[in-house]
Amino acid sequence: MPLFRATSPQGDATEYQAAHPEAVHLTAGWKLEELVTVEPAPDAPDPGPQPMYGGRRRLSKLEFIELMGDAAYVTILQLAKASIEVEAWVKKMELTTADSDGTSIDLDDPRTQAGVASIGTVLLGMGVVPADWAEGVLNG
Amino acid sequence: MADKYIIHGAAFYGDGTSSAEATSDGGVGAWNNIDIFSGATPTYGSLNAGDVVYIRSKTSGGADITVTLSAAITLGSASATLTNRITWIIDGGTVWSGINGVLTYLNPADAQRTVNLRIHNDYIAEKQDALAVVFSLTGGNQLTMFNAAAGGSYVKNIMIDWGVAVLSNGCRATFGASTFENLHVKAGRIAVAIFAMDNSGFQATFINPNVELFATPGAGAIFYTASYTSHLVVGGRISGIGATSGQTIVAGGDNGTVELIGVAYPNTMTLSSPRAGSIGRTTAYGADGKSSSAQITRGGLLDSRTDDNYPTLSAVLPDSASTPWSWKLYPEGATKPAPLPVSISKIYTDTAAAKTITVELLVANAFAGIDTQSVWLSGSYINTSGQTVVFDTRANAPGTALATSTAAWSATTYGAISLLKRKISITTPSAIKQDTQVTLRLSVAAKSASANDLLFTCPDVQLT
Repeated sequence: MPLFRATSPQGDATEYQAAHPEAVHLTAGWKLEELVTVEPAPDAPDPGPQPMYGGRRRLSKLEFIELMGDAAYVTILQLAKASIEVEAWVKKMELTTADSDGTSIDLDDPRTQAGVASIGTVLLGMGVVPADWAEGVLNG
Repeated sequence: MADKYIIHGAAFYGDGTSSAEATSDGGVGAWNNIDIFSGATPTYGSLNAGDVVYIRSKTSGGADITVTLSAAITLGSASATLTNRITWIIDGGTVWSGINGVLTYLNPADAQRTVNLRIHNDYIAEKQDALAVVFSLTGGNQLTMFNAAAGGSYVKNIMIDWGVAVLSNGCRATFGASTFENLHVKAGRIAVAIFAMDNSGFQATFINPNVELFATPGAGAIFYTASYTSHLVVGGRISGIGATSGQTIVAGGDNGTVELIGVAYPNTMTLSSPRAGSIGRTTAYGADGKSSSAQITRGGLLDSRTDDNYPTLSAVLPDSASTPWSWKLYPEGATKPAPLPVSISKIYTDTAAAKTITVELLVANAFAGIDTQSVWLSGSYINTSGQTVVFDTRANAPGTALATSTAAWSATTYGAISLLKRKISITTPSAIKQDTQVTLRLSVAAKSASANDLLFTCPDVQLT
């Protein structure tokens, strides 16, 4: 049975199920809607996860950290205390000065991609991130 | 290729081939379920590439149709192809006389329930806003309400509405290589951008968009570029309480470009910042409703609005009021290799003679670093032999102070900024040929230390 929502000229809304809407709700001043639910088509393309920064490939250091996520970031800092290689990667990011546009990280830079992939392997092994974490970070 | 019809809520499920309601299931008559618009396979009849589907904008019972989203949804049919497109028309009375309703896709939850468009499908609402995508909560957490990143569509007269979402992190829409005509956006808080681009290398075209901003300015922008993307926006306007100081129109980077032709926006809005990523170029024409131009490059902003009290000198627009105008220069990102450029030209109509070319300037009195090395004139003219003669006034290091001027500017202040009269002159070494163009470029390599470090120049070059 259809579900209707009728909004009065004063803005008051009421919802009800009926085979047909009440006649008054079809008069001038009333807004009458039939509320419908539909199932997504089985072949609907999956648009995929939305890039966090609108597709931008150059980020600030803070944006890059946000992109990696808190769990990964905290774990990387912990790893840096025990691993010179990880510490070196963190230091390199810290020491990078921002370009005139305020960004420091280029997601298309091979060094960034290699670094994220490498640390992603470690984080995945520790169960901190899912298998597609590195891909997600590099996709923005 | 055929016309098909949907009347949601009709008693019987027809075969889609008639605008009348079917008298039995499978009989000749309209389909009776709006889910065909979102990809469901018709139970009777078929939807084929090349079809035009008319959707009655009210149910058979006379109600507007509101699809309440419980998940993301994709409008259109996968049967469409590049050469045999499927067109969806929300009818506004052409097929069903007197029926003028609204088909709404409503997200009532703070969850990602994006309305996506399929490639090769076209979406037309006969009446403005008759197809609407709406978010109804006051707070949204970076939701992508609408996604046309697949590209390849022509969309007309639709509305995207999150105007009530003035709290939290807001919403956005994403676009690809499609054309949107008369898109109406009601935006609350903006998450990244209203018009974001998720794919690289595409141009999205917007004709006469109507953008209403219901939230006070925040971090998001109106247009956001991605890698080598392009927004072409022709006509339309940006308005509302959010269309004011603090609201950026263009942001992003990665060499994307935005061109606004005849898009009206208030003079208090920030067009863009050269520091906003690595934007390729942003241009805006006619933002003041006249013939103003604005351009953002890496060097800074150039703007010629006539509704912001710029001091003027002798240049006038070719309108009935001979409206005075001038260029405002804000070299926010200027450097020696990338100065802020202004192109000026004038046709020389007197008899051939050597002339002194003078460009008049106003310079903010506190703007440091202005000299003959950081501000200079380059150009060319045609001599009486028809040859192009080039010249420039840029001093080798060190520069000296610009020449003072006594030109009769309309004012020597801009808001609280005091301005000094200056000029740059050069005498041509030979005669300028009559009725030839003198082409000039004023370059400013002095970088603004604050928003008060401005210059103005009169585009009416003096040839004396």
